Amino acid sequence: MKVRVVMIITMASCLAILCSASMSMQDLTTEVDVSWAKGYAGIEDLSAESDLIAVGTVKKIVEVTDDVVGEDRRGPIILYFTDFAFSVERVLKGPQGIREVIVHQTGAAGREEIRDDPLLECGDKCVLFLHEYETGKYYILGGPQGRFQIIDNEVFSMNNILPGIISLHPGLDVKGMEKADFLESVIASIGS
Amino acid sequence: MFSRIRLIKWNVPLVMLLVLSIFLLCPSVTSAYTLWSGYKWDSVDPLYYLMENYIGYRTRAAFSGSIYDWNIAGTPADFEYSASDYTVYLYEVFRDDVAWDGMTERTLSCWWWWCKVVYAKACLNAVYTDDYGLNERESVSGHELGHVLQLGEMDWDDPVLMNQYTNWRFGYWGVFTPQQDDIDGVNYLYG
Repeated sequence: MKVRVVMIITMASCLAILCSASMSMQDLTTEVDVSWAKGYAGIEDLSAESDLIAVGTVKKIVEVTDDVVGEDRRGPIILYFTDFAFSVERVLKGPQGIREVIVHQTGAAGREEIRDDPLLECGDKCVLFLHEYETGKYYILGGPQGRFQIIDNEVFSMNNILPGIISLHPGLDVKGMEKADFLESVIASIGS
Repeated sequence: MFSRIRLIKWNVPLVMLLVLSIFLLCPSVTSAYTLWSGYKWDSVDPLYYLMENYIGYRTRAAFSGSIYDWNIAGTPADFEYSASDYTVYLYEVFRDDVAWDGMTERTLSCWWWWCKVVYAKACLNAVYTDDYGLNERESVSGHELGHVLQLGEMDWDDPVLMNQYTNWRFGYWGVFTPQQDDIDGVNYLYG
C-alpha cells in the first residue's frame, strides 16, 4: 500500500516538474494594446463617419494574413489580420442591396488579439459601423466602439459584453436595448 | 474484499490530487493569453531600446521625445539605447486598414502562474501619425511607451497619457507627456 502511495506521489511530482519545465521555456505573447486614433462620443458621431452601417451575422473566417512589417533581433515582426465574411441582413446606411462584406480585424485567433477589441466570432449577430478602406473591404470604426452585439433581440455595446476590459464613452453605452428601438435610433441619427 | 475497499478509499483522494495538479499546472500554458496587468519587467533601470533603422523622421522624433519625457518623469524607468542588448523595439507601420494609430505588444515569460515581461515592441501607424503635429505624435508614442512599462488603458475622460483615444488624450486634454497619474502607476510597479 505504502509503495503504491509513494509511486503515485512520485508520478504527480514528475508531471508537475515536467509541466513547469516546459512552461519555463516558453515566451508567450500575451498582451497587445493599441491607441485608437479616434474616440466617438455617441451614435451620431459614429454614423456620420460610417461608410456602411449594417445589421447581420458573422458567417465565417475568409482569410488570416500574417504581414511581416519588419525584423528585430528575435526575427520577423508579424502583424496578424483576420478577414470575416459578414452576411448583411439590413443596411442602415450605405449602398443598399449589399448581401455580404468582408470585415477586417487586427489579430488572429490563438496568436494575438487586441485586448479591448477581441476578434469577432462566427455566429455573432451585430450592428457594425464600418469604414471602407478598399472596395468591398471594411474595418470597424474605432475598434470596439463601432460594434454592437445582438443577443436575444437585444443590443449591447462592447463595454457590456466585456465589462472591466472595454471602456466606452457613455454616449455609446447600450445595454439590452430592444433591437428595433436601437435600429430606429441609429436611423434617426443618420438623418440628424 | 475489505482490503480492496480500503485501497479504493485511499486511492480516490490521491487520484484526485493527481488530476488536480495536472489541471492546475498544465492549462496555464494556454490561459496565459488571458493574463493581463500586474506583470512587470524585472528591472526598468535601464530598459534598453532600439529604433528601427528605416523609421521615418517624424516617428523617430516622436519616440525620441517620449523617451526623454519618460526618462525625466521621476520614475525608476530609464530608457537607454542599445544596438545589441535591447528588449524594447520601436518601429513604424503604414496601415490604412485599421483604426489604431499606435500599438504595443509585450512578450511575457511565465513559470507556473508567475509571469514577467521580457520583451516589447511598439509602433506608430504613420498613416495617421504623419498627419499629426509633433506633440500629438508624441502623445501616441508616449502612450505606447506607457504600455511598454505595463501601464493599462485609461478612459476617454481621463486627462492622462494612458487615455486610449488620441482625439481625447491630445485633441481634448492636450496631454502628450506623462502626467502624475501615469507616473504614480510606474512608481507603484517599479518604485
